[in-house]
Amino acid sequence: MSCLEVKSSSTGVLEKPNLPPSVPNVTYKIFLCGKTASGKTWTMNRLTGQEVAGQHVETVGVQCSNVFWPMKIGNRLILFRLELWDAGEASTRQYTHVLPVCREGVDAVLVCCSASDREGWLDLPRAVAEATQPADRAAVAVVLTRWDQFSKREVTEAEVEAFEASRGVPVVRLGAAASDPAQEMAHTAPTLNFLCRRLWQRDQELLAIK
Amino acid sequence: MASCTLVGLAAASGVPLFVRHSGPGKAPAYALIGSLNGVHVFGESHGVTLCSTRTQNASLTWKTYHDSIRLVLIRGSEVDADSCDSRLLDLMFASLVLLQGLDNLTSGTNVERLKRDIRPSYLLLDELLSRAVGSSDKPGFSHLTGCAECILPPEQHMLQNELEKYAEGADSSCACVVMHGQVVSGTRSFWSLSNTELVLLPLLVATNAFTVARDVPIYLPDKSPNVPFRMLVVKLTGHVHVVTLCGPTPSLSEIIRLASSSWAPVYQVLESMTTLLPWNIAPGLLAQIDHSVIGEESRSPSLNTAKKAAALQAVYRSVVGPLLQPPAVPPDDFPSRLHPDHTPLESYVCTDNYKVYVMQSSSYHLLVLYPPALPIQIARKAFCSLAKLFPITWPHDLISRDNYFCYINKWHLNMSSLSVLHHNLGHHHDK
Ligand SMILES: Nc1nc2c(ncn2[C@@H]2O[C@H](COP(=O)(O)OP(=O)(O)OP(=O)(O)O)[C@@H](O)[C@H]2O)c(=O)[nH]1
Ligand SMILES: [Mg+2]
Repeated sequence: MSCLEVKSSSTGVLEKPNLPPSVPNVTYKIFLCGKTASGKTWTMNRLTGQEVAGQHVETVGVQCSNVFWPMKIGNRLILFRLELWDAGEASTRQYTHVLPVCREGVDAVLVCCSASDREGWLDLPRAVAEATQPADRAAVAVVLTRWDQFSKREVTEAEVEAFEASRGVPVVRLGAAASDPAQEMAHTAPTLNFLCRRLWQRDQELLAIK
Repeated sequence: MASCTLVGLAAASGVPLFVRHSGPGKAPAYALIGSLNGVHVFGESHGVTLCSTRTQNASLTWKTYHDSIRLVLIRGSEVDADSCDSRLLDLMFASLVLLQGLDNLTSGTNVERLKRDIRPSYLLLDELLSRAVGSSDKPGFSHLTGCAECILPPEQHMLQNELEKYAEGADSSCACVVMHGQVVSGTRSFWSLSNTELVLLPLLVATNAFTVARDVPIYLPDKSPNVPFRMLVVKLTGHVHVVTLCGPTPSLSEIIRLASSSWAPVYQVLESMTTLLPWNIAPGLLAQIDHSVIGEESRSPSLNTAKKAAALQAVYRSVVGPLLQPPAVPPDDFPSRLHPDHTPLESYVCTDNYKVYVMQSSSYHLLVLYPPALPIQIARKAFCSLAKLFPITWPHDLISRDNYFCYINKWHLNMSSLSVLHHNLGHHHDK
């Protein structure tokens, strides 16, 4: 598998990147969940190539961003459109319409957790268990944010490995944001490749079940 | 370029809630902020309300809202604080209400909570501040005029129809299409929003332009300060967003589907609107402008785009309001201060760096920037031929159109003529 880069952030719902019409499209919905300041918006902005904020600003309501990610599966080029859904935790608690719309038809849930939040880490098994409903059959992964803030880490590498092994849930780390776009792409590409591959596999599994 | 700082304080305790700064230099230190509040409180204890003052290098404006939040605007500049600054503060307070709601904002006892709640408004406050210092990359005038900024594309009629269909499908009466913070079309109920709301909503959309869709609870500062609406924003193209104010339905995913299917047939029209950028007028009309009118590069090498924006804004501040009827106030509310028995229609301002000719035509103000050396009678002549060419003739056309009737009636006037000329100048001088 390999990938190539496509600018995605400036397209509206009526648009898609310029690729030959023969390239098939697949769309997946990904919901970012986690407590306030766990890095949901930060992760979304990283993955969609947006600037990230230095200070926590609560997200008001729900926001949705697209990433177009062409990837070769086997020898076929496929254009993945990842719809990232992010809701501020305060809004999720305040308004009943927020969670249902984020959960409706999800293909994957990314549970965000800050590496500098020990409590959040200890609570992660519960958060992961609650992240999806069995009927969704959604793929689940953990995004461990603030891993780049070395001195504030409250979670060890060994703990992360143990978590992955015992729960069978992968833990993704994005690393620090780079100011150089080319480098930034190198940071986020593995995660996007991983997500697309995972979603593709899930589709194959679901097809096999049917 | 002047700098501008906004300070928010809890009125009762004097605790600083936030400080936002735009332009060169740093925001004032907390000690100074404390004294700024102190002076105000001192005045109050003697039954005096301190509204504004001027120091050697700054002008200051204080305003307290609902006895609970005090805003202080510090403008490091040559100009005196005026009614524009006071209006800017009103817009800034309304920006807080827009995302927090009036009661939440003014009845809170937990200052730490309040500080956090206010943070989502920073984007909007910063946009207003950068406009005030003229450093915004999309110079606009809506914060000065109190009117929504508009774009009138040739296909306006068709887009209006599409919008009305879309709004109906979305179960909403209040909807608009915006491009870069400028309104392309709006439903009747959109145009019945207050001036403040009409200025802030497009800016709110423009400050978070990268997400494809959003469902944001917002309060309408004048029409619904305590009951939130859902503002559903869908980005149609890289430049154009469609906005609806809704109740509990439809869901964000439903509105995304609806927007994708309803607007797909007019995609080309939406895309072609980018040819109106950055001047907001059709290229055909643009080509007709006499180059001598707007001045060429060689005539004003000292004025870059930002300075031109600042020049027009400064003239606007000094002429519209004190002399000419401001656009956001109904005509009969305006007894001219200087000339009670007649209404001035034209004016000009000359400085060492530029000359600006200003005219009021029905509900429009047209400001044209000239090089300083151009004799004023030539400036006026050039101005008149330009006025004939330009959208200043639009009102007659628009009044006959039903969908704009309320727009004109409510004196929500299209100031695009202003920015048209300004952008235009920018183009000719900077290429
Ligand atoms: N350096 C670094 N900072 C991070 C990382 N993740 C989050 N942050 C910081 O944490 C702050 C809060 O993260 P957000 O993404 O805004 O939090 P959120 O989960 O969206 O919170 P709500 O919207 O309130 O639900 C960000 O503004 C960043 O400053 C990371 O991986 N690295
Ligand atoms: Mg967030």
